[in-house]
Amino acid sequence: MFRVPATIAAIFLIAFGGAMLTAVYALKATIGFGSIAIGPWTAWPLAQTEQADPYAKAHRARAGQLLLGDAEGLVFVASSDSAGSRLSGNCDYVVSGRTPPARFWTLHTTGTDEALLQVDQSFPAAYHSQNVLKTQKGEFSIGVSGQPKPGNWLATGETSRPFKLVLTLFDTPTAGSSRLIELQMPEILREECRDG
Amino acid sequence: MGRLFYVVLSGIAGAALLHIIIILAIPAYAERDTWTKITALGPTEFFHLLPPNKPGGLTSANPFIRTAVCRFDITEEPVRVTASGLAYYWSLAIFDPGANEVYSMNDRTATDKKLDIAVVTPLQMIGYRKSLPETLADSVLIEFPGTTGYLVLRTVTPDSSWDLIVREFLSNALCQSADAY
Repeated sequence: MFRVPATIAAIFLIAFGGAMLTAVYALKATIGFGSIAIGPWTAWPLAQTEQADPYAKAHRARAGQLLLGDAEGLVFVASSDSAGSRLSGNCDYVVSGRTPPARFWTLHTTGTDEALLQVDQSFPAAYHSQNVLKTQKGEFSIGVSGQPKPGNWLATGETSRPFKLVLTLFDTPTAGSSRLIELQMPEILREECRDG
Repeated sequence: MGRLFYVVLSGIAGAALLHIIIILAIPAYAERDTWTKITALGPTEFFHLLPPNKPGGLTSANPFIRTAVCRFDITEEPVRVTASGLAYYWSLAIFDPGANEVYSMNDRTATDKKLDIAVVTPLQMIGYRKSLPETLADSVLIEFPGTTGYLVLRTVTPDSSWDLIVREFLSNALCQSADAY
């Protein structure tokens, strides 16, 4: 007797539940299409424009943040290392190499919730192009770890959870790059891991 | 068995359709989007200095960026934005209420590294093409497709010694209707 209503109820359940879950997942997992990926780094140069795809527009409406304009800068985010495994607070990493041309760049870490990691105030939790130690060739190497490192040390605090590295380039031609030159982004290499 | 298959298949088809509807509807129904947060800050034609690194706030977590935001309504009068003084770097972006970028610039693209722009509607632009008031003679006129929007002025603090300088730069920046000058 209840076969038809039960069938309809089941279809509705799958439809609404599935739609809700996939929408939330899609908005959490990505900022949309049209990204540029260089190694582990990803940027969305069109995310703040009218040409952004519906996913990017939904994402920015939900996040409600002020995005960097085209002439202001470009934000690259890495949530995995160069080998492709997720960045974990249990592991040490070395970010080395050089950035694409930019007047100023900054590097900081955030949790997966986009908030800064909890780091003791006296430890260096962020770097920029003027305070990082560079080699004579202009390359840098930053040790990302919860434990102190010699040279440039980017502290990740006590966290053992996954985190993200955020590289912001200010006044950079990267977004409009015609790819005539290969863009160079720093590599993220995993060193040893501690047992969480 | 055939019935179960039918239920799952139509469920998935419905889910796909609803997924698209949800994604397309979010920008219109989001309650904590940029425009709502900016409207909640206070009056138009005024630069609001935003606290850096406030969770759920308007700014990203970048510890070096300092941001000021000004909401404007140019239905009656265009808005003029000026800022000068020492800043390590500054950049400005103008957005419409849907958070779409309309215009952006930085200190290298400005004359003498001084910010002096006027945001005008296409209609006001026609008037200014005929006769430009003395006060706007040095301003860069930017045609804005709508009447309301917001602009974001950003600068960076490479270290804490810049904090005061940057704060001064941002609080001296003016965002007011063009005839107020």
